[in-house]
Amino acid sequence: MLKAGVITDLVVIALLSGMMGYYLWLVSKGRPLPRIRKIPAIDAIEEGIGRCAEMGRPMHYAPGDFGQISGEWGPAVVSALNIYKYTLKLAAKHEVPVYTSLPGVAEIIPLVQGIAREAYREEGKPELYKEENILYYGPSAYKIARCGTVLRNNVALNVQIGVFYTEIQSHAVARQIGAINIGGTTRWTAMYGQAITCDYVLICEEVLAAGTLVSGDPGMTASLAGEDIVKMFLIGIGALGIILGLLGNPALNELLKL
Amino acid sequence: MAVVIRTQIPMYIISIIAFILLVEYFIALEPLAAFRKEMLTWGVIIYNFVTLLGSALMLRYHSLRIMKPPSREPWARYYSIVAIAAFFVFLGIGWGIGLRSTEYVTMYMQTVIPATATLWGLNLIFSTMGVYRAMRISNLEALALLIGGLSYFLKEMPIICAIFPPMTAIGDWFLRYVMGPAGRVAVLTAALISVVVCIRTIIQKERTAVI
Repeated sequence: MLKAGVITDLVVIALLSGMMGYYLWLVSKGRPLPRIRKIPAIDAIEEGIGRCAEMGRPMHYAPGDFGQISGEWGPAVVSALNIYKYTLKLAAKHEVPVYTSLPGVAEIIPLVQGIAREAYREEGKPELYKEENILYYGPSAYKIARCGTVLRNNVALNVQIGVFYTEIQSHAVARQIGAINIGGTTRWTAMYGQAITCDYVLICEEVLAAGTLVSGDPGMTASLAGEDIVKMFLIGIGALGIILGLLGNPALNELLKL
Repeated sequence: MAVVIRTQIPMYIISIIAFILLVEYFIALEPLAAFRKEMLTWGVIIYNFVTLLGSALMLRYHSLRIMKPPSREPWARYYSIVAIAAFFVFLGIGWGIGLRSTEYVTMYMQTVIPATATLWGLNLIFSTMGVYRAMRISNLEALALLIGGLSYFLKEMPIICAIFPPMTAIGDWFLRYVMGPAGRVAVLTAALISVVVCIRTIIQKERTAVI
């Protein structure tokens, strides 16, 4: 009945579902969940917006190069949009204009516009929402256009959190005009670009944790907690595999092939 | 009710379908396999609708910019006119004459390729600025990084390769013999660091996202 070679996958999925289910059960019973630690890059967003307000300069936000909310990068895009909403609400509170550069995927335009409209409405300042500040440049040009947006508007804070290819250019431009750079991407192969040019950076899965943190949704926190436990289990398996492999014992390797 | 229809019902549909597909991944049953095949076909159909939606949204976006350009950049409406005109010209010729026709290919080669090359050229300036500002060419490694990046960008620019044909070979050489091995070293280093982080996590020296 079971297909060949899927037992390990089944165990991991069952473990993951079990842990998430357990933490969701805790949520439903109103019991306390594990606390998400403070993430410096998220605190820096508020500081940066305060700085924008003091200097009378706008800020720039880019929610990624990938805009698809389905598939491999879907969760990260959703997290980036959560952080976007959080940032907009802070900006609305301090009345700081926000320029948003969209990814090259047109499907995301109404989603981002809707989130922005909702964020300003929730802060009681719907009049601050300006559709003309949400900029769509198309698939090929958005990288360069982002540099132009940062430079032309002389922003004091440049936040780029989401799923990016190597992003270095617009951060370099922002640094040139004295803006604070906050970056984050879930693609570890693209991490280095932001790591060398940003003042604060969210490293890979920290983007997901930050999205959960700012959303304040207990369901998302429960998922993250369950995922963290399974991650530690898998790290343990990995370490055990290394040790057994060095000892020349193929038992674990054979077991994982089941 | 409208909110339920817009948010809850699609979520239930997606959850049920995802669950069935997950079961199909583990269990070999003919009806499940047939269902998966059917869903993949529907996935392609929906994806095409998303592309159509993307085109419609792009047209709406640029039409609004033509009618009401941003107050600080009134000239932006002309870019939008060009974008919409290009969209319809490409659509008309692609649909009417065919995507493999000489007209379409010539048009593509004479517009999209030079425009992409121009963007790469601009990218070169900003990337160099980024690498320079980050690394400050303060040491040999930073200089090597800059030279490697420049060789790649210059190789990607047709005008440079037209003026200086060996540029393609130089760029390829850098990619094959310098960046390739350097990338492998980086991956090995990252793997070693991952092992260290794993061990630190197991002995509770490293913090995870959730305390």
